Amino acid sequence: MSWVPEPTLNSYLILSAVLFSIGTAGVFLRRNLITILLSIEVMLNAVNLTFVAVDRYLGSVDGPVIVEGVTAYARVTDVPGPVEMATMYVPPEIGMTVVDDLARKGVKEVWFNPGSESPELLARATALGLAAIEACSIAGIGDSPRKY
Amino acid sequence: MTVIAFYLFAAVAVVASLLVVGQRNPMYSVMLLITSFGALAGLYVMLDAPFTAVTQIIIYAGAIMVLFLFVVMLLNAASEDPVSGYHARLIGGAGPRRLGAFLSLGLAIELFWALRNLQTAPLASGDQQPPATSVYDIGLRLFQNYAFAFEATSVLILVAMVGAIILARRERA
Repeated sequence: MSWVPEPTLNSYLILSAVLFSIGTAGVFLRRNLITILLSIEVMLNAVNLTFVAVDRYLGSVDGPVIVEGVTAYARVTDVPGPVEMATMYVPPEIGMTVVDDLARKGVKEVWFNPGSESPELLARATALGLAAIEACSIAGIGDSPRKY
Repeated sequence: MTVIAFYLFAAVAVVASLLVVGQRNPMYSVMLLITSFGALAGLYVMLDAPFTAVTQIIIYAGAIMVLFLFVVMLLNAASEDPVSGYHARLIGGAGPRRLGAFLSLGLAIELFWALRNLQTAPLASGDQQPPATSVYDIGLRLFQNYAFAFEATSVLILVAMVGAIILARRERA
């Protein structure tokens, strides 16, 4: 199917525009009140389609994605359900940007793997009421990092 | 697969909508509109909005269109029934109709001109939320983030209901 383009947001918007134009033409050209009402319904549905398509489009940038079979979320507050513990594998500058979200999510303990900690970050985590643990979380579950 | 489905649903929706407007018998128009709604529900499924799709079928195709069918049957408006009186002068005259055709053509041209060179570049990821797909998500959004809009809509529907009753009430002689 390479001779037709994949449907993108534009395809949906154009389809919506076509339907809306059809509805407008119906409202203006028909003289039967019921048909005019039905034409208005066509227009309303065209707008509905725009809403759903744009919602999907906006969500696709930031929504959950599947990485190697595991669902990945853009931020911890997007994860449904409670989160017990978090483990950090990012530099402390990045860690500072997510530690507030961790506290908001109600995470109890945060494991800072070697290289992800800094004095400011640890202080900030403790100030937010998170139990900060400076250790390798792979060793913490009784496994060896060599295996990964 | 999705490509075929998209063009199939889009074609069905457009053709059915064209026939809705083109039909002289309102009865067939209603039936074709239901077809169009079905095709749009398919598109909603493709856009990861299964709840919207099911609502479209149940509420629109199921309830509202059946209501329309009843109205068509009860009014016995089986064929083109030009409105008379004030409304006929308002929308039925040759002048307003020509103007209406011109305006709708203008709107169509404007829409396509606007969409012609629209870029589908990814939007900057700001504070958007993931799309609400489950009923749970939609319920939360509706009563937390959009509670005001929801309540305003219910007031609007109440106003429409009162208006319909007042308009439909026969004048006591």
